[in-house]
Amino acid sequence: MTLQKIGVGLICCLCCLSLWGQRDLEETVCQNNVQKGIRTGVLQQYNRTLGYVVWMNPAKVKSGYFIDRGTYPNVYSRITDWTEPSAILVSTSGNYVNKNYHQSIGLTVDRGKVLNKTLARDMDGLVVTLNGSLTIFSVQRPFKLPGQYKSINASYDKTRLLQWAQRIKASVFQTHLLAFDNALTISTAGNKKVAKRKFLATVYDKSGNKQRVLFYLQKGAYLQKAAKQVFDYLRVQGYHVQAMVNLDTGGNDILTIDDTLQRCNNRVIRGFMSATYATNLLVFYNQ
Amino acid sequence: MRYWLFLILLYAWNDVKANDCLATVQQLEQLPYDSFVLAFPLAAVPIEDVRTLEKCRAYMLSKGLRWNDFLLAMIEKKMAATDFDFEQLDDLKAILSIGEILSHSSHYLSDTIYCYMAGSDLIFGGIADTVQSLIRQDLLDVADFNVRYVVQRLLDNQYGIDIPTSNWVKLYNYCKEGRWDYIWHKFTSTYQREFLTAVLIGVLGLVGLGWIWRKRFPKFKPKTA
Repeated sequence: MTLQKIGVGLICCLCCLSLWGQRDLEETVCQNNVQKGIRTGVLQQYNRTLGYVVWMNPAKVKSGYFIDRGTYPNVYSRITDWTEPSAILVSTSGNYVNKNYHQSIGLTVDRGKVLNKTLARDMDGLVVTLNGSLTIFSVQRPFKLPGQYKSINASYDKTRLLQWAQRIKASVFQTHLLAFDNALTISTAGNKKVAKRKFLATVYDKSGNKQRVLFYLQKGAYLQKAAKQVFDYLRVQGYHVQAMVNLDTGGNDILTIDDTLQRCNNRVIRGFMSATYATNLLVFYNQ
Repeated sequence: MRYWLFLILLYAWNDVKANDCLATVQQLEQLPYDSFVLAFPLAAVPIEDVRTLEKCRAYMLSKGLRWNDFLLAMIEKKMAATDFDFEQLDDLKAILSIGEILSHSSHYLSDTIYCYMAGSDLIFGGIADTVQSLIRQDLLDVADFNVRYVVQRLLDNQYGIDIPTSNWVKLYNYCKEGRWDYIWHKFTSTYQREFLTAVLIGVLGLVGLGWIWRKRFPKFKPKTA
């Protein structure tokens, strides 16, 4: 009888523990600037801060990708020369770069200038920015480029994609695709090391309104585990996740947010490195 | 079916002139497309001779034959016949040169012809994929001169290879750049366990050395009665 009681007690404890482990992320809004189309929040689990989230309304917040520093000392200088620094709301590192060889990894185009034509076979996410818009495609599936009628497959029609980007001055970069069309695309093989994580997602709410969301998880986590956690959070909130990609952290952990929006939970939302160290930057700005 | 097979064998017997693309096309043009490609000595066509290829292209298009597929099939055959031997680079150098000739076609032809660009991409992309895969499997020594030559030649044509960098090299580079805050952050976060273990071993080592030193060279000898 006593053994039975102990057994039942243990099972109850295990159930409670598993339920506790599955506790969802919680978001507390820090700043909300409707005029600028941006909202920041802190992500918590068991009252422990995991990181931050930045919601951006694509109707108000435009995007651009820069990797070629041209004649400037760094990419950030090029951006500040290109637009008013006060217009920049968020700037973050984008794709991976092999710093030893000063070469971006995967297909890379900066405003029509082709920098790398090699399609990385292990990265399915293709981010395209054009005239302030940002779209995430899957390399594995056919897609229509903005303003084009014919679908292309990036693996087979790469030349067509590059010619289009050159002609129309679009920017393209490749990175790991974590979720696409409301399904996770990353396997547990992605759980190699614990590190800070930064994800960019395009989501639709129940009314069909598009949002761009940037997740910055400062607590070290495995890639697949973190992606699943964020994906589940978005699904629970009722969003349709069109796509979610991984952004570079590590030695290129750059994230800067507009001065008026960066304070959150008595802290400042900021990446570890200064933007002047950036090898490439994905910027979100008001026009 | 037998008739086409007979024709294919007949042309093979007649030793089709592979180095004269146009003449060969004219010889084989009455074959259905699949048999035409089958009978054509694709791997032997000198693809680097763009002048002849252009004549061939114009002729084939005038006859309603599919040129783009044909050129890509030729390149695929050529790639399949290429020996990826990094000891002797002759084959690789030859195919890289063809890729360069095709990718530069926009400079010497009046108009950018899509199929030549796609052809060059097939060559460079194919080599880049193979080199990348061999590097990932540790089957290529990235420090080897020939490997570096091929990687650099690909890079010159905007095809970058992701050569894995060891953590020691990264550390050396960060030291060179003076990014001490990042190095400290890395040691106290990602490599916290390894860092603390190393510190502990260091401290224990120092204490042990001190103890041995004191044993061998005692500072104060105990007074004896």
